[in-house]
Amino acid sequence: MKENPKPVARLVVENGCGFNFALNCRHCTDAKCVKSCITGAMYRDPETGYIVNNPEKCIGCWTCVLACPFGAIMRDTSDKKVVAKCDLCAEVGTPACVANCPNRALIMVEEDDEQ
Amino acid sequence: MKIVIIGNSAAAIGCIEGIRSHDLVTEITVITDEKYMAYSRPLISYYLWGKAEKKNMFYREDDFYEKANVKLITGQKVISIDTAKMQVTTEGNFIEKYDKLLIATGASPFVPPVEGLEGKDNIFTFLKWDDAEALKEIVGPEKHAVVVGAGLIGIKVAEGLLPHCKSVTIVELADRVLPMVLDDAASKIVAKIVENKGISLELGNSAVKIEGNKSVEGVVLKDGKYLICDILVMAVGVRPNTQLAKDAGIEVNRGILVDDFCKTNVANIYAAGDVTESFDSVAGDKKIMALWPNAYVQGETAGLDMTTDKLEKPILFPMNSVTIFGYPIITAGIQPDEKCTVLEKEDESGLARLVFKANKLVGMMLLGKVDRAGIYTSMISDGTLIEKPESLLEEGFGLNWFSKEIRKEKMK
Repeated sequence: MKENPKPVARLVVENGCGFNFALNCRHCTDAKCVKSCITGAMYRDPETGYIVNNPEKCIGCWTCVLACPFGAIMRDTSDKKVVAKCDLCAEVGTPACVANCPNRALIMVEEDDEQ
Repeated sequence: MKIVIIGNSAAAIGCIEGIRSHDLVTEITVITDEKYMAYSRPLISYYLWGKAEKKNMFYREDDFYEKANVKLITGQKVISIDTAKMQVTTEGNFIEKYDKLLIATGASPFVPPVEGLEGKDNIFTFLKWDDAEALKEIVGPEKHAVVVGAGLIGIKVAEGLLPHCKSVTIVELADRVLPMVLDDAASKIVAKIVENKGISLELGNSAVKIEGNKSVEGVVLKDGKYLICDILVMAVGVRPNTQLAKDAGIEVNRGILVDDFCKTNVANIYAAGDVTESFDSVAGDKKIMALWPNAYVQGETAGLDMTTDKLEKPILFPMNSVTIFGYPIITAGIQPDEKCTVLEKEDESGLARLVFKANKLVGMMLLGKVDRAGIYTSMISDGTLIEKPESLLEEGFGLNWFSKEIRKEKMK
């Protein structure tokens, strides 16, 4: 399954400082990106609880980029300028990064609400 | 309990969502003088441009008010607040009682006196959806538009007008565009982009006379230049809509004065958004921070304070992200003064300027390359101690900058 244009990575791999780690959206309880979104494109899916972006409404103002304390929101400037972020591949099931990580360094864990 | 909200934009929605995050029973009534459900005000320039469809203008889903169990009263302007009887009255003599009240009346364009301005049509301001509709009606391939003011509103309306008009000229008193948020170097970058797209700039100039009989036909500038003009947009600035609060005896300076929890000096009355003057945590003073994300957080704070006992005070400071013809610009915190250290990095990808004071990041301005800006925002907000300022501008800067403990804490 190849997409054209090539989709923007929805996670950041940080390296330097002698270690590497992959960073994706934290799907925060207190989601600053949702609160700061000027169009209402960024929202919490009431069913999954994941933070998702509606590309039809997104205007690419990058206020969420300004607000996200993790720097986990990417800019997709390939076509219409919209936000690209991890949606945990909710429509597919297993996140693509987890399915394809050759070293099995990425795993998907669901935490209980109480934790 | 019954809560009444005057206004229906970011602060109002923040208030509703703050309340409904934990309280489904308190009665909420929203009264607005506009005829729409809450819409995204910053989108009006995209709507004018043709880049935002009508259906995507709304800030929340169609059934938002119904689901949140909110009574929405549109097209009614509140004209008085009776703080003794705890009720508000609208122009149509409709009375609504409250236990707690939120004033979120926003701001209105300020139009300075200019010779010949009075009594002519084809003069516009640009803050509401209807302003965009009015401009959409009048634009045309033979029309010459003049925008007075090169602030955010002026530049965005010019961007929206450009594809629909024969010419668009921006007249600005200051010697640069976006004078309130950008320094010289950054303004030059933006000015070049705007001019390359075909907008004419008249900087360090002003409109001294508007010519025409019934309609605007031309604008005479301070330096004597004459601009043919069929559409005149006044975008000099905005003023908070404070009259209603003033008349009710609520303390007002330039905006309604509120504390950290958005309370005014009058019991049970809160204010939030562009109408307020509130505490800038970074600069350490009170000011008007008329920006969408701040309005939402203030509204939410008010809503939570109305309905809960314990609430952490929010940290607010000016922050803004905007694109101009797709070129991204982010600013936050304070402009540098003599007590600050400034670090700059400029390359083909853009310009970054970070402002430090007492080993803390207190301001930023990013042009072109804005990725991961939120990490800086969080450093400004948290007052993170920074020993090596230059490390923030190194290639690959990210969460790896923080110690393992702090990073783990952040990512929990």
